[in-house]
Amino acid sequence: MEYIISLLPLIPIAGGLLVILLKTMSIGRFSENIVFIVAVVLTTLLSIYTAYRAISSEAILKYCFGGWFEPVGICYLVDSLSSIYIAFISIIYIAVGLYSIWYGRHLSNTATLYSLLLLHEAGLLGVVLTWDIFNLYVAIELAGLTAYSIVAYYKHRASSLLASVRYALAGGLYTSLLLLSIGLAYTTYAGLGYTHVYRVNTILASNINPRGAVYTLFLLSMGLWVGFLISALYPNHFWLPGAHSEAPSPGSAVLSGLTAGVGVYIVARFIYTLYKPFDLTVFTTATLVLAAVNIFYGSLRMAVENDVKRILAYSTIVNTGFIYMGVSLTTATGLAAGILHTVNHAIGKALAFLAIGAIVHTMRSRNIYALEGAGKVMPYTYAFLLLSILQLIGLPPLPGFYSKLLLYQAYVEKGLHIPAIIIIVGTIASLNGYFRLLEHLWHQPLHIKPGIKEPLSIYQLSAYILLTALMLTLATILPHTLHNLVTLVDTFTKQP
Amino acid sequence: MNTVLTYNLLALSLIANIIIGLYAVVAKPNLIKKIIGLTIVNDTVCVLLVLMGYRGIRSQPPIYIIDGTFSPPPHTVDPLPQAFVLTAIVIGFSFTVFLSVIALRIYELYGSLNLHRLLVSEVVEEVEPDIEPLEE
Repeated sequence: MEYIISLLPLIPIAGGLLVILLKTMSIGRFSENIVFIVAVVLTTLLSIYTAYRAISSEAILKYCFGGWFEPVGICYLVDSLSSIYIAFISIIYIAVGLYSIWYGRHLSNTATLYSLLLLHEAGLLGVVLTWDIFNLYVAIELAGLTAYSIVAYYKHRASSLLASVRYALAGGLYTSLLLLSIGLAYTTYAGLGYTHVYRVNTILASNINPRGAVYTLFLLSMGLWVGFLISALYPNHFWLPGAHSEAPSPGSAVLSGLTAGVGVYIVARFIYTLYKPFDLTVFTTATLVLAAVNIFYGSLRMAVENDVKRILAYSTIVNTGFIYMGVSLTTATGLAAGILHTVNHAIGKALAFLAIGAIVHTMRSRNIYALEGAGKVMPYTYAFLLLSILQLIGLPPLPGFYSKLLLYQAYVEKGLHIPAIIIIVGTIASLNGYFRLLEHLWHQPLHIKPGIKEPLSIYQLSAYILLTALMLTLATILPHTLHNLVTLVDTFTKQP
Repeated sequence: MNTVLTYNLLALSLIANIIIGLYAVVAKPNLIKKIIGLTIVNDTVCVLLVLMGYRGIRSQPPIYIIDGTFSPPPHTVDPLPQAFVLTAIVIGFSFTVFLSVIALRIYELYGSLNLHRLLVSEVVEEVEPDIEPLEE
């Protein structure tokens, strides 16, 4: 049954190509919707099944393409970390998919959006599942190219083109250098499977030779750097606000919620799996400092921004900072907090972007002053937006609270009190931006034209309700299972 | 001429090429020149990878166990970097096509490809965003 793992990226790819094929045959939007939803749901069912098998049997599932054994062939592997990732990526994709059916009614070219979303999912799943550095590069490029295309989806709008170019140039340059570093490291490792690289690293850590050290260091820094670009850690954050605000709203939800999380996954793989034999204190300390910068920079910009989607984009920068604070701690509790916050942020941010997308679409503006009173005109959408923002802040009954609690606990456990204080102060600093958004949307209607009705399609509502249900499920089970989560992540950090 | 010397000279010139490409991407304001710089970097990396597969100097082909005995063929080239390069060329091609299409659209909209000025003007817009309808 291991071949199911190989189907996970293949089904979205097939679906994406089929959607384009149906578009050229011009059968109609209905068939495109059916193919899109079937591909997304099928991927979700298979990934939940795979994740359940991996977690319940506490075993590593592995599938090698063509039967080639590991150092030579390309393998896909599911362990505790990647099973968490494939489960939440695919579940959030169902919500985004349902919402896109409503959103696509107003677009002339739905098939392109569906196809890009599906191919992006394939790229994300590829990054998460792969067990080979070169294949990681290919999956990053697939996810990257589709992400740039999603950003440039409104191709008649100049700002979205510029945002896409800014993102694409940085991404292209960094991934070219990643390829260079992979090539150089190949001369040292003579094989690029993760297990193989780990084994060679254990040898290198004890008796280092100068040439190997340079190449190893180069690969490590490029891997971390590309991960930082994808998840927008401080010096590489510059593309994010433009890209996430200019993308169509389902695209923003995916880019902000899932792609940033996958960047964290790459960094976690490099720190916790590939380079575990080395002492990475310099790198993790730098990550911690950058994460703190991210939190405060994002909070400050969030409070002065006038574009509602940009406010949410800066909130992504803030939350990436929290996630990296957990990941950089190199303890099981820290990593568990980082992963849990990735999941919580993905749910909250997807819901926030979907709700704000409906508001922006109805009101035809992204300016916070033009949207004053929009919440009173669209109360149901506003309620979901409110819920998602409370989740992003981390108000106690919602699961967003537990990840920050775990993060705080991880730092206190290790006796690092200044980062623990930064977590609290950073949360308070980010409140200003969130409440400014909520407050402006709940003003007396000032600029709202009369006769605007709240769009409440069944697809849209089911997307909101799915994400809310996910949030409430987590809120119910997390208080009892936080310890189990730490144990689960602990088994991951122990294995090579 | 000495093979090792040729190899090293070639490697050095390729590294110089990468630096030139990086300079073009970072410093040149014209988008087309940036795309050219990116292509230079990507293609040079590909050539460098092929060079590493040359077995006379450093690397070895990964499959060398035939009938359970270690028997590297005497004059072979490591096939794995070539497979890498094939994939990387396709990715680089799709990247160039994507960026060229975007450059064409930007030129149609602005009549300019000076990316540094365009991005700065976007920053000015950012400070006071106008209330414009979303074209959908």
